[in-house]
Amino acid sequence: MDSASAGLMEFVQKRLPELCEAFAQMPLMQLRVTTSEGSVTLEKAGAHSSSADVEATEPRRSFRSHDYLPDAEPGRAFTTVAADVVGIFHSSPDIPGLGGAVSADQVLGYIEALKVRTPVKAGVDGRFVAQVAEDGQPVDFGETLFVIDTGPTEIEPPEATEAEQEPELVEPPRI
Amino acid sequence: MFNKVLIANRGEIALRIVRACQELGVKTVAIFSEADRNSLHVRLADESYCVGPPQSARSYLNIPNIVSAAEVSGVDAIHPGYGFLSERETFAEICASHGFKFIGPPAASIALMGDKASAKKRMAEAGIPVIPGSGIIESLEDAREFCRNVGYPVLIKATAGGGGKGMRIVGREADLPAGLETASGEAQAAFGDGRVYVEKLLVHPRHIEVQVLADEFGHTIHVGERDCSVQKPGHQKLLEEAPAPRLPMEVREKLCAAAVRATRAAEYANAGTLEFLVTDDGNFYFMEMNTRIQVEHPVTEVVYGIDLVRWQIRIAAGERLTVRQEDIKPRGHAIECRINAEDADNKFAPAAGKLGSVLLPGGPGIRVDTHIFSGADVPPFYDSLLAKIIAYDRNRPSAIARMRRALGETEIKGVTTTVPIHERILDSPSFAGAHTHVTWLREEVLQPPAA
Repeated sequence: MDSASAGLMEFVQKRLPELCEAFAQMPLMQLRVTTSEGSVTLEKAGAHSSSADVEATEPRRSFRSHDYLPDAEPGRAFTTVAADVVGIFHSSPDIPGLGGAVSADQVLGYIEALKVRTPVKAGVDGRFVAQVAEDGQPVDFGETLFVIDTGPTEIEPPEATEAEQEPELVEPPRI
Repeated sequence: MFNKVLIANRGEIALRIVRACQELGVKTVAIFSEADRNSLHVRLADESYCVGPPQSARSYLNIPNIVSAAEVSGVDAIHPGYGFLSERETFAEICASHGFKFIGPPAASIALMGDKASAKKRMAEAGIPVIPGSGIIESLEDAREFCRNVGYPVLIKATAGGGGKGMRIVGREADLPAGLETASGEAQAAFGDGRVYVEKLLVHPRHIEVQVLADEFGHTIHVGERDCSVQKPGHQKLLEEAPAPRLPMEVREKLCAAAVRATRAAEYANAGTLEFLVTDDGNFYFMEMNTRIQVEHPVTEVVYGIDLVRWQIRIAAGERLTVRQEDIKPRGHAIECRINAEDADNKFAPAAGKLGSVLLPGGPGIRVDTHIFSGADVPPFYDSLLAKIIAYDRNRPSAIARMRRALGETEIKGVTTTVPIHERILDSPSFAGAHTHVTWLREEVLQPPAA
């Protein structure tokens, strides 16, 4: 087994059961989780069963997960809380359980690097869905740490953010 | 030797360093921006960390995230490559203060050589020729005396200068008073500071640089010279070769000896490059020192049979440089063509986008250092270098023929590249005769004089 599928298996074994449980209780029909090792789509066949479809994509060494897209339910938005610094992630002891209320300035954990602890705030008001990163795990920039349900809103097409990104030339290296 | 090294760079040089580490049995940690997630250096490294969004200032120059990645992954050392953080003494200091060996010179050497004025002063003290300059001109008589000593033509420059404002070329003494007056007036108008100084103007100089290696025990050698005279407007190198063609043996020896003296004067360790301007009369003048590995290092590697990046790592790990100066002998000739995503017919405007099919040359005597592949993204955020093609053969004419053959094999779909301008350069009779100089490309290839 190569390292990429090893990473994916680790994800499936460690994180998936928790995610399935959360998914089972959400009013959603489908949830796609994309990590850098591959993507997992959870789909509800009936009221209480779910099936996992695992497909390996680009190989990566360290575990990362970047976006959670609720595909099948327009009108419900999930917000992911991502790391904006590199370091070791730790969750707060008092993070809420599934469905618990979360306020925007609530500290859900911190990232420690170079003896500095950077707090991770929820950033939005909503309900707690899942902790994605594990305690003590190294996280890099943009890595998903938590998922928060912000309730029914207009879902923006995911491509929009990428297309709007203005290319910007910053200080080409002096060679 | 180190156990694990973080590479604080991207593109072909990050790959080059990953490869050198792997050959030494050293594990590698890549960093990348969100725009480089699928790049080859990330794929080939043992571990990788995203350190920020695409803009360099927030990713490849993001010192806190880079040093955090080094800490989290448990590396012993950080290799900065070229560009980005490679010549920032603060980065070298921060690495050291967090217990990571910076694979490069001491921070003090970076600081000394990074400041033009202090570098020039130290070099002049060490007896290295620098371009003669006058100091601030107080009177016409001052200027006259200086110009008589160094000889015409001279260049008048504003101390507050920049952008060509307050600059005047003066070819003979009769024109000196008028030149000083206009330059000073222009400088006063543009910068509110009319002070000017005079420098000897070098006519059509060549850019010849000397590669040096020094270990941390004071053993310093040169690894010969490179001619990098073929430059785009704006002094950016496009084609480099080793050894420098049409350079008399005694000039070459003096130049290389000066480079070793300069390296010692800078209390330098690791790999570095001394850049000189060389005139046709055999005089050379120190320009600057690059305190890092350079883009064009492969031409030296193939001609001298020395792995410079491997030596950078070994020297930083505290090993002694076991190569002796007398073992340094050039064999054959090497040429490097920088294949950039640029349009030479449109002021070298950079291009970006998704590449189509990519076919790179190979066969005898060809080395290609690149990070691109079919379907790879060329983000608009960074330097436009796509690949370096290095042709090596037993002499210069054969190396030119080999390079021409290699360029013919090269196919990079999806962006405009510098392959066609390289073909024009190689076809030029004055290139074949090695009559290039720093403005040759602009004057004789891009805007050739009317026939």
